[in-house]
Parts: sequence; structure tokens; C-alpha cells
Amino acid sequence: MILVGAIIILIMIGFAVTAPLLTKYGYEEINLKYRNKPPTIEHVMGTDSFGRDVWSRCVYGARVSFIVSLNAVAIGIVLGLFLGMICGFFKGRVDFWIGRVMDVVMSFPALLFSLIIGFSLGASIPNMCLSVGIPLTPIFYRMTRGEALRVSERTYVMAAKSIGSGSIRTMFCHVLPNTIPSLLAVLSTCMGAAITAESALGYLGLGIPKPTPSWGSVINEGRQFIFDAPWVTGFGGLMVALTILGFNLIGDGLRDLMDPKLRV
Amino acid sequence: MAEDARILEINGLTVRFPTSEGVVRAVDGVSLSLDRGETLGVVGESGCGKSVMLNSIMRLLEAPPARIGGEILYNGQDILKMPKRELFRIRGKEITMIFQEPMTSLNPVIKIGPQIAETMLLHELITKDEASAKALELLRQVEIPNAEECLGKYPHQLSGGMRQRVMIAMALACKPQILLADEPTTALDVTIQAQILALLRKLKDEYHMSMMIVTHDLGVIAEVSERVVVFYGGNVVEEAPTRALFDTPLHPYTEGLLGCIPHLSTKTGRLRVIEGNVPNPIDLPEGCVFAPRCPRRERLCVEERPALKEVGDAQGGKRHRVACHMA
Repeated sequence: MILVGAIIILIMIGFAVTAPLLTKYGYEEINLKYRNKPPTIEHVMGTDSFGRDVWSRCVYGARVSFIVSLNAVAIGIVLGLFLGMICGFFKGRVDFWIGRVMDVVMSFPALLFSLIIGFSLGASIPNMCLSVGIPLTPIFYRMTRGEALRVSERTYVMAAKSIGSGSIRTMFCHVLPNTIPSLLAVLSTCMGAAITAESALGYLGLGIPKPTPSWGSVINEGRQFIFDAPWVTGFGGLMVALTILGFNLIGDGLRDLMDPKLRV
Repeated sequence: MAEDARILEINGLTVRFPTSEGVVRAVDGVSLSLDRGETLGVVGESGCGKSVMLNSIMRLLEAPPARIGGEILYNGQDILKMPKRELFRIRGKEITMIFQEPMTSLNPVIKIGPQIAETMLLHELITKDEASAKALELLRQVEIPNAEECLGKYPHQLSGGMRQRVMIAMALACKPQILLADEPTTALDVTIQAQILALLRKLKDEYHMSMMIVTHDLGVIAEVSERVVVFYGGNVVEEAPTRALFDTPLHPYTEGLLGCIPHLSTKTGRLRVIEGNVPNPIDLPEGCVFAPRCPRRERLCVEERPALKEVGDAQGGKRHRVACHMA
């Protein structure tokens, strides 16, 4: 399972990295003679309403989608891990206040949150990373906090303190490494969520400026002609679906691998 | 006895945990002392506060919620009032601790070598290489076979006895003055227990340490300690040189404890037990903590808590003290 997931993701990353080699047409090459044409040998995924090659747009779109989702997850994980660690380890008042802030972030629907950031800061890649990443923070925060609470009750943490290790050191050297396994499983699922969020933003027109394609914008542009040229939306959606499937397979596989009780 | 012979002195230590049902009085006014080079055994049933006392010596209890009173003097300095920096310097360098569960007291994601080296890197100005060379030497001292190989292993690859040896090596890394051992052999099987105890005794002499061993096993006490403190319900009920305690126990609880040890030679049909249970630490009896279970109970026992008083002659400067109206 984990292998299938990994292969899918590797192929997608391969698309993103080697896009120029895989495509015959530029992603913004307009050919008005070939508007909304179904898949042929020449255009394996057909063409969109501007006569642009959908395959090219999907392959180049992988770049934006991956850059945004990787950065977004990185933002989410760094913030979430840091805050969760502090809360789970020090508990008390810090925990209470950071927890309430996280509740506020969590109480906004992720998409609404992204929309607010998108509208107020404008559409650009860094802003998209932020707007997708911040709603992910509470997920990592809660996971890390729970794990940190659990791990800091362990005798080895007490033992670390008993040999004179200070709080910060104990937190980073003894508690943190023991929370990583459970985080890994969440991580890959969140990658999937980030891809979805990115596509949703692209679909709503808050993605990166046109004509640079992302999967979301490919789907969005196909929407108007969904009955005349369903392949545009279809293949764009397929890319998103496959990637999410890949990440979820990795996530499930990792979880099973980490949990000895599920191992047969 | 000269004052400086005492390396650790606990005066009127109380540890309380507020809970929703009431205040748990885990340690309820304990005073005891540890001399240089001495091995003190602390015995008592589960839940009598002995581990809590040990943890408060290291200041490992989280306070709050725990409320700690009294004083714990290490070389005349109160550990409970010590600034954090001083505390971190003492922990692991001058006072160290071995925990009950060797299975969970080593960090599962750090290899043995670096884990032992950590103590030295924290307290001494040495390089990583020197620290790991020392770690190897320590592993040899605690008699671990294939010490080199062991350095690169993870804790889950070792057996319980091996892990306890690693714990001991960690505790000894900076040549501490005091070694606190919280039921160091409880989780191990009997043959390993004997080995670990022999090892502790040997190392204690080599390092000129003072040692405090907390256990519920009188066999362990007889094996290693010179003096014994008997805990009951968060109180010290008897304190005596080991020999004297085994020969002439004065407190009815101590007598009961000794009576509970099964002997191969005696042919009494049933094992003797102490009737009843450990008192609920939320509401300890007002009088003697042992009164509800005591066969020699009288009215005075229920009304007034007996203080520790000295009885008999001091043997070699070691007092025999007991907290019982009847003794």
C-alpha cells in the first residue's frame, strides 16, 4: 500500500520536476483552431477553450500545486509542532492561551480562512502558502500537544531531568523525537489536504495569477465548458484525486507500520 | 555525630497533592538523614509515599500541583529553595537517581552510548569522543558483556537487567555523591536482582557514594543497607540499624512486615498477613497512622500521633527510633 502511494507521489513529483521534457506544447501556447478538442495522440488530454494542451497545463500545474502544498505543510508543521510542544510540555497557563488561539483558528472553516487571507493579501505563491498553511496548524498542534503530554509522563523524561537536563533540552532532545512517528502519519494526510485546498483556491480564482496553471485553475477553466469539453476538468481533477490517493495511501501505510498492534 | 557527616538531611518534609476528592497527604512530616558513605534502606508498602519522597529530593515533582513543605538539606543547602541553575548542576552530577522500570526509563530513540554520554556532556567540559570513551568504560564497570557493541544499540534491543545496568552507568557517569535508587530491582527477576544488588554495593564502595534505596522488599534491605527507615502512610514509623531492625523490631508494623516474609524452614500452614489496607492518604487517621490495623492498639493510639522517640542504646552511633506509644 505504502509502495503504491509512494510510486504515485514520485510520478507526480517527477512531472513537476521534468515538466519541460514531458511536454510538446508550452502551457500558455494558445491555438484557437484547436479549441476544446477531445484527447488525441497529439494532445493526450485534449485541449481547453483556448486550445491549450491540457497535458502541458496539468504537468506544469503539478509544480505550483506541489510548491504550494509542501510550503503550506511546512508552515503548518513548524508552527503546530512548536506551539504543540510548548503546550504539551509546559502545560499550565501557556497551554491554555495558545490552546484558545488554536481554537479560534480551528473554528474558521479552512477555506474561509484561506479566502480571507487571499483577498486581503492578494494572490501570489507566498500568500497561498500562508493561507493554506495556517489552517493546517491546529491539526499539527493538537497532535503534537497530545503526544508531548503522553511522552512527558514517561519515566525516561523524568530520568533525563534527573541527570540535569534543562527544560528546553529535555523538550527538544527527549520529548520531540518520540512524537515524530505519530506525526509522520498525519503529515502525509495533510499533504493531501493541502493539495485539495490549493486546488480549491485555484478553482475560486484566488490561486496564482493567470496564465500560470495549477490543478485548481485547470479545473476552474474547464468548468465553463464542462459539457462540451469534460476532459479539461476531468483530467485536472484526476491529477488531484490521484495525488491525494497517493498521500493517503502513504499515510495509512505509515500508520500501520508504526503501530505494532496492527502488524500481522 | 559531627554535623558534616550528614550529606542529606530531610526535616519535616510534607508533600500534598490537591485532588477533587481532597488533599492527598503523600508524605506527612518525614525527617531522616543520610550519612556520607552510608546506605540507607527505605521500606514500605506501595503508596506509602516513599517514591514521592525520593522524587522530591530530586525536585522532580511538579509543584504545583504538588505542595511541598519542610526542607531537604544537601550539604546544608536546601534543595527545595535552590535556584534552578544550581538545581540543574546538582541533578545528575552530585545526586542521581535510578528508576524502578528499566523498560521505560531509557529514551527509546537514543542509542545507549549517546544516552550515557549525555550526562557527562551536560556537566563536564569534555568532547563527544571523550564522553563516549568514558561511556564505554562505564559499561564495562557495570559488567555489561560486549560493551562496545552495546554502545550502538537501542534500548529495546537490551533485556531488563541490561537496561538497569545501563541506567546505573548513566547514574554513575559523573561520580555522584548520592545515588537514589527507586525500587531498582523490583522489575527484575531474582537472579538478576542479586547481581544488580551486588553491583550496586561494589560500585558504592568504589565511588564512595551515599546511597538511598527505596524498596518494598526486605530482602533487598538486608542485602545492601546499613540502616533502615520504615515508612507507613507517609510517616516514618521506625528507624534502626538493619541488624537491630531484623532482630528486635519495635513497631508493630515492622513486626508485621517481617512476619509476612515466607520462610522455607517454618512449617506454619498459612502465611501471616497484616489485616486491612494502607490508610487512604486523603484522610489519614488523626492518631497513629497504623492504629486501624494495629493488633496492640489502645485508646491513646487513636487519639494522639506518636512521635519518633529513641529507644535502647545507640549501636555504633546509629540510633534506633520508633514512633509507637506501646514500644
